[in-house]
Amino acid sequence: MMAAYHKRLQDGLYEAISVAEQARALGIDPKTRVEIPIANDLADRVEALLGITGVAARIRELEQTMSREEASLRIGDDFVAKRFGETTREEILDHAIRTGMALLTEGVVAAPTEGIGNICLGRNDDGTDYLKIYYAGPIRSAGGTAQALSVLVGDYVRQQLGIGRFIPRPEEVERYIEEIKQYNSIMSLQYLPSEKEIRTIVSNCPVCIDGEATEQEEVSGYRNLERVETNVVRGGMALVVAEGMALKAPKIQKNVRKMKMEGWEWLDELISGTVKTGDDDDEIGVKPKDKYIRDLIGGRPVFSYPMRKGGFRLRYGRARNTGFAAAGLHPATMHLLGDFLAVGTQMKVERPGKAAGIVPVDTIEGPTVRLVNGDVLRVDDLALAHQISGSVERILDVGEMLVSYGEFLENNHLLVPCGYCDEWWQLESNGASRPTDETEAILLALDGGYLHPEYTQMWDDITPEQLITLSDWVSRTGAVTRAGLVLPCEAEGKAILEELLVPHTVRDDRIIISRHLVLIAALGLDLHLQRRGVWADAPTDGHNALSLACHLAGFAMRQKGGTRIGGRMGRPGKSKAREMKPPPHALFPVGEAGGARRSFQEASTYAPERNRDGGVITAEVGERRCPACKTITYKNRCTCGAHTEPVFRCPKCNIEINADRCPRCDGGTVCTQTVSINVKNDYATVLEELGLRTGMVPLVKGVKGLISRERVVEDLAKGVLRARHSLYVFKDGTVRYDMIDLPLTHIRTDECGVTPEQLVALGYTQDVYGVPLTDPTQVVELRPQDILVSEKCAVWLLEVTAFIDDLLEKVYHLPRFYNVTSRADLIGHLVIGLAPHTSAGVLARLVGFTKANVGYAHPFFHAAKRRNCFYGDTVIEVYDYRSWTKVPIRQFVLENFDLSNPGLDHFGTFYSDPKRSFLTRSVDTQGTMHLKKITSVSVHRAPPALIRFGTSRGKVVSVTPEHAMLIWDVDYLKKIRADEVKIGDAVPVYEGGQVLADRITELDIVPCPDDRVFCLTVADDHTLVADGIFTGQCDGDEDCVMMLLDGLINFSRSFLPETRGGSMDAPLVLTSRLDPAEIDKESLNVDVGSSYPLEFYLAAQQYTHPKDLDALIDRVERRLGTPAQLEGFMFTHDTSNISEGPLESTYTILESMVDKLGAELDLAEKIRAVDADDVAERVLKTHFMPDLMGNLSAFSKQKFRCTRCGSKYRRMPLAGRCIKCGNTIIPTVHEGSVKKYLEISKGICNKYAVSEYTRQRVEVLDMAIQSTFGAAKEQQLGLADFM
Amino acid sequence: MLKASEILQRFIETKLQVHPDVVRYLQEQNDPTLVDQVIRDASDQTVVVSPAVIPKLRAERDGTRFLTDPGLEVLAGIAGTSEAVTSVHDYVHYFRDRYNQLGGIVRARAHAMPIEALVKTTRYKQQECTIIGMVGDSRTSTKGHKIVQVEDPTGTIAVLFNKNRPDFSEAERLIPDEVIGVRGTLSPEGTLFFGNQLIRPDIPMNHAPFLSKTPGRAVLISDVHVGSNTFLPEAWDRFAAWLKTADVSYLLIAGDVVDGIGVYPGQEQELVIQNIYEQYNAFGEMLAELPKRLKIVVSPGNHDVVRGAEPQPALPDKFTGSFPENCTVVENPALISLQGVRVLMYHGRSIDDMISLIPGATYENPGQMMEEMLQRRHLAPSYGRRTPIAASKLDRLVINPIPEILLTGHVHIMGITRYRGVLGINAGTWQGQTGFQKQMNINPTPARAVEVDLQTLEYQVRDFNEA
Repeated sequence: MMAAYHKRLQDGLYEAISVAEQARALGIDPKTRVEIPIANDLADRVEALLGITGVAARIRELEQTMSREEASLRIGDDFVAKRFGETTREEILDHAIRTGMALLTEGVVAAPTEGIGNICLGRNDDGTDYLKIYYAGPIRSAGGTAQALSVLVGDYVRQQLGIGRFIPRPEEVERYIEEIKQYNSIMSLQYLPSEKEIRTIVSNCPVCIDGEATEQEEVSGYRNLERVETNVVRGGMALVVAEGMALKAPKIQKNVRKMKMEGWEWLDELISGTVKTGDDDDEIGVKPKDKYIRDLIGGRPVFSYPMRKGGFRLRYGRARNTGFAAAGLHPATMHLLGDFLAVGTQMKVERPGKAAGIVPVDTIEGPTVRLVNGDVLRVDDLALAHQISGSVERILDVGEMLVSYGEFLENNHLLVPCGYCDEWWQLESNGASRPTDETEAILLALDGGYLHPEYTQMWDDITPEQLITLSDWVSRTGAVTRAGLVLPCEAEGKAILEELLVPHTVRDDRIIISRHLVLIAALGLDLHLQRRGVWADAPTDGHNALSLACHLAGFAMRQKGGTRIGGRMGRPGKSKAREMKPPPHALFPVGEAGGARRSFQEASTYAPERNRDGGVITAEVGERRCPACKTITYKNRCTCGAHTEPVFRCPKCNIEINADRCPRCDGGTVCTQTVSINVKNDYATVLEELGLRTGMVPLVKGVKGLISRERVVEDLAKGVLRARHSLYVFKDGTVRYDMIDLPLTHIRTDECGVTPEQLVALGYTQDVYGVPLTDPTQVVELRPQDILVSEKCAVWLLEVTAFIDDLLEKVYHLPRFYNVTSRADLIGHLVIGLAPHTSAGVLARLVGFTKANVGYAHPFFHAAKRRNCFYGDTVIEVYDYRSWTKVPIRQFVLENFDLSNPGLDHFGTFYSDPKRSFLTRSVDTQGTMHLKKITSVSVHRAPPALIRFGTSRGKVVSVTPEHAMLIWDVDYLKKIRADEVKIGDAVPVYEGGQVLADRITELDIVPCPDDRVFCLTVADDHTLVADGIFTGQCDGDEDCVMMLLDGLINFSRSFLPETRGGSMDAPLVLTSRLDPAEIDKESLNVDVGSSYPLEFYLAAQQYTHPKDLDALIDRVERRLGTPAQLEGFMFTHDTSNISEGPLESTYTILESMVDKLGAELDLAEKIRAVDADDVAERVLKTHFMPDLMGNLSAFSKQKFRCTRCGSKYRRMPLAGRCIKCGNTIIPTVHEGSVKKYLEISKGICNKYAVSEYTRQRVEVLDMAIQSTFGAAKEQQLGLADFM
Repeated sequence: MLKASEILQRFIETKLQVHPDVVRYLQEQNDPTLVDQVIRDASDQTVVVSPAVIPKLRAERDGTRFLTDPGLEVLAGIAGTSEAVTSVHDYVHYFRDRYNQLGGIVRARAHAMPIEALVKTTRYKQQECTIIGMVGDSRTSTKGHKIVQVEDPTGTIAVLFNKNRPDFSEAERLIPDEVIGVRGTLSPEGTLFFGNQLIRPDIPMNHAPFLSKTPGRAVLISDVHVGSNTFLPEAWDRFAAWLKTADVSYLLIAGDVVDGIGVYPGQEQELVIQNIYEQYNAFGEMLAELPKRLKIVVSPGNHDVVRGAEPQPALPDKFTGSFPENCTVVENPALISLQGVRVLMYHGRSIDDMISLIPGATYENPGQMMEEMLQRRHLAPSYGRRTPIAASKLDRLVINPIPEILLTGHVHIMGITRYRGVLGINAGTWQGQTGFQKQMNINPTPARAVEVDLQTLEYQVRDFNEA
């Protein structure tokens, strides 16, 4: 089965490749071959990523006999033996270290290529050589372990080559200490080693851990050291020393021992001296954890306070769409919670992890509500929920949350008791079937079992006193009638009934409880509501209400409430086409001539001088030469029809050199020429060739300038066709669609927009029980590389396929390939899935659609795209006036994107400086984080969100040119290294390690109106995985898809920006076949059995660690290496439709913050498990006031911007206008953005019971704002005011 | 221009040592005969030639003061003079004013030409000339030289300071937005200006402070931080008791009189008085218990209730209800005349920025930061960092006129310096070490007051840490 499946995929892939090869052979693209190499396993990926031929085979050999970590060291022997064609010691070291790093990071992160800037040899004072590794910002994506082990790899090879140890000078050691501390104050490390630890590491580590300058700050103390090239803070170095060497010392030691390496004895000292600081929120037993509501953002409601009655009740299990960081709620819950939770919306939760994607599971319990008429009922039906949602007065209980065992294991969280549920009851019922009514349930319980959960009340929520009060009240005032138990509608008694969640109706001022037998029994009453004899020996002390109820009832009951889990809304979902800002249709430079929209139409009318012909622009483009007729051009195909080659020159010596470095002056070479392009003519020619008339083409947009090394210009026809289909190109030449990803292991055809016949045609012949597939409701196991996309995405894919067909037909003159006319035709086509910040795409097949704005795919597919580090909610620390605050980077970014001051990079990506001052200080760099962001912002990890921010698209910190080259040239020829010098000289910006962060970070972030910020690129949310990325920009669970043929034909490395991080997010390799053993470890914790055993439930009552139950639960990890690793999965809970429930979050639908906050607070007042006053205060304290303070402070430190050319100024130029173009300059922080939340904050103070302290803070802020801007500005005066 | 090494050589030949200020002066004058004259004038007993021997550099005491009030007078920073930011033009005016005021001081010593003239014409290529401009971004070149963008209202140019020149350390201390003069040569391409000498507005070498004609003593403190759980009430009580008996007429307090609210996250956990009004009441009562004969001046700091942007307004009436009659509230900064002796009170927020920008600067040595302010003749030279600035028509942070005493606080570490006749006092604090400071390894020097004799400008530090 699997073999046939894989063969189909491979066949489809090779068919597409052959088409793409034909197309590319025509020479219209930068290269004449397809540029995405296919990698089937890790070894292939490493080889493709690094471009070292032959290394894959050797890796496979080594992996037969040893662990991956060991293999990453041993492979060094082969390099030392020059097996792969290395010639110099530097090259051996370089290849060995990068290969080791690539192995350790699963070959999917950018760390091996971009995280190491340079590797070279230095000279000790005693004349011996030593090894220097220059780490760059993206090293963060590798995670601490890989960072640390890369040093070990270096040492291993160094010893083999007979290179000496690094002997640091005393002042160099002190420099490390100063610099790491300073880096920590800029970016906040996960762990800041003590001075003693740093000293131990630096003085003993046999390899010199060096780094590129990544920040803007310079050290103040140990400057101008001979062997340390820069005075600027080196972020990569700080990361490796602190988060790698110091934090992962035990890991290194383990490998040192295994490999019997010498010279690492000092690790003992480091490890024994390291005080382990446990997580402050490590739970003992379990206590309420309020971390998830410490930073509330206005408009994102809290649904349940920590472990509070009425909150989410834990239910163990995995539905076919949960697990892998997704949790199930009943769709009725999603609706009644104000529709804030749409399918795929992220919720921050109290436990077991920090966040969970929310998906609908309708086989668990929904919420219990009280209507305005007093009725209390549980809502287990979405239709009913819609019907009553207008009349809900209070949400007494928000219902169950389905969380799988694997989630607890993944998060290393103790199991906690769950409420009694049907599947548990079944394990204890001795084979009895589920009771059909209350009487039967009681009879079964009297036989010795436990009462079925459906009939059990929340006795664990009340006190024995309440039970007695209720019993007395029922006995005194109640009557049993044919309708059930009838009671007067009295507040005290009703309140207890509501705590027990006893469903009842209120008619004519009387409470009617139709299902009352268990209640009466548990209250110790007989059918005449008289106390039964059991009261005589009722336990009176030291017992809880549940055991009292059991005693009174005479049968056993288990707790129904179980552990409550707190939750609040996290990031809303997203499903939209990737667009850069402003979005281009073609990677074709139009410069200033294209106007603000960079359009060809405008460029066609542009005239540099008044009486010249319009439409001629000047652009800096790559210099290419036709090998046939030697013509110099910028086009990829010469007029004679031959494919042209880039020409590199040394800008100083002005000679042509086919290398990265000039042999004469050692400067870097460039490929550039400034040409005049007659855009008007070109555009007209293209239209003619395509057979289009002017009116048939909407605005076609290009880019301002080219930023790749070769400055390759894309064929204009592609842009015109994209514009025809409303598609925007991404920086690498592809078009992409972003979606949040959710796990799915099984599908029903009726929920995913396909017919059984279609699925059968794709090879799904039978359902999960082995029955032939004929009926739309049959459940089918999803194959690992098959995916479902949102319906919106399907519409977009239709355009893409039409675009590609047009492209093939009209530009390449090849037959159309897709010929797709309807959505259904898309089924079975292949796409490439790509996660943020990774460089490896995964081949996937489209098998269906979901109404929700998400992408559903097999957990393996998601895992294959992930890095293996996480950053979960990466917390960043920001500096405020005098102290540091921790903020999740996501929030930081959201709150700090400066809408008023976005900037643009050459490529048309938006960025801005964070607007809050505290952030600001270091912000600039924020980073841009990905790596950058973080960088710039002070981040705990990235900031994006420094802000920033956080998010970003792959821009990373800019790097010195040298490195950049490396990056691109993943090919890793040794030549590559040379680049540094050259660019540096030419472009000052690069020198001295400017930080890049600036650019980078900001770029990534894209704001939505009304303070919603999304990372354009992806980022900024916590990625699960993302630990590694520098910044938190990446949104780990949001990926993009592109059509396979688009990637194969249009992608080119030559388009990628020449900055560090430029290749992030680009499909440098394509994984065509998933191997569960090689993907992110998180997916191995997905449990795949159809039930949990009784021991599991009992153990959970005892707060057992999930690892202790490992053997009881069927998980992927236990199937590895067998055919069952890919198929035969099951689930414990079914759900009827994976797209049920709200499809768009209220948060996204409401536009203004006032509306959002209103909806949030209304909901807070309704939910029993939520304290509305506290919510109001928290929103004030963690969102609005920091925003007000930050903006006010930013106002007095603000930057300025030219309205015409977009130049930014740190302060107002003395000239008072733009130095570059002479235009007027405007401030970047406006009064309006400062005061944005002032009125709403004052309003909250009036309406809610906010503490006096907070109230005064608002008052003081109000005064400060008035004194800065003057008393409220006069209203706009009307004409009447003057008359 | 004369080379420093040549000048030094001349002095060494005559077996004289020479003060660096004299060398700079001679360089600036660019008059070789002056060197001879100075050497000639040096008496036989002279070992070190100090600025005092230079004929034109004899200390000149500014002796004219018109005193309307023989005691206390607020010369600048009277409550109500700070302005709101009304438009973007304010920023233009603000930096222009800074350039004009400070540039004017430099211009008196150097004949400068507009940068535009260098950039737009070919006339000055490879000629020595002088420019006056505001520092923009700076960086270190790969070879280790310092490259600084210098801007005046007509244009901007990159200035390179060669690391091998003797006064390169001056260039290393360049920080954004200070105003400097540079003497140097334009490169052959006309795009780079090689800086030979850097001229800061600075205090004139011949400056001598005004001294009060009548007896009088002032006590200078700052950073009381009432309301914080680390405020030191016993030490304050000892101070108050001492004031009752001491022969002092003035008490100046340079900001952060209370700890404030919401100044940093989690502050409520470190407050014993969480109500901002009660904090000021408590402070007012402390002042009310001091002798009525004392004239008290209070300016705000970043913890106070007013806006953070400088100049900060004086404390508003609704917080000063309990302040005694003998207390005057002023803005930050404020220039006070005490019997003609001028005290420039500035809270010192910019010290944070300067420490982060100036190589080798530390919190332990705030005195140096005051010297840096005086050399730049500006209280907060760098815009856009931690010090918020409210732009207005005039730059009130320029140090002009030259005060006799510069009083700052903020960093909680006492530091006293005397620079070209100006007494710089960073007054420390009345707050013990906070958790934050502990974390940052900052050791404050609390509970000290500086007593200054206005007739001599001699000072005495009084320590109230122990009974």
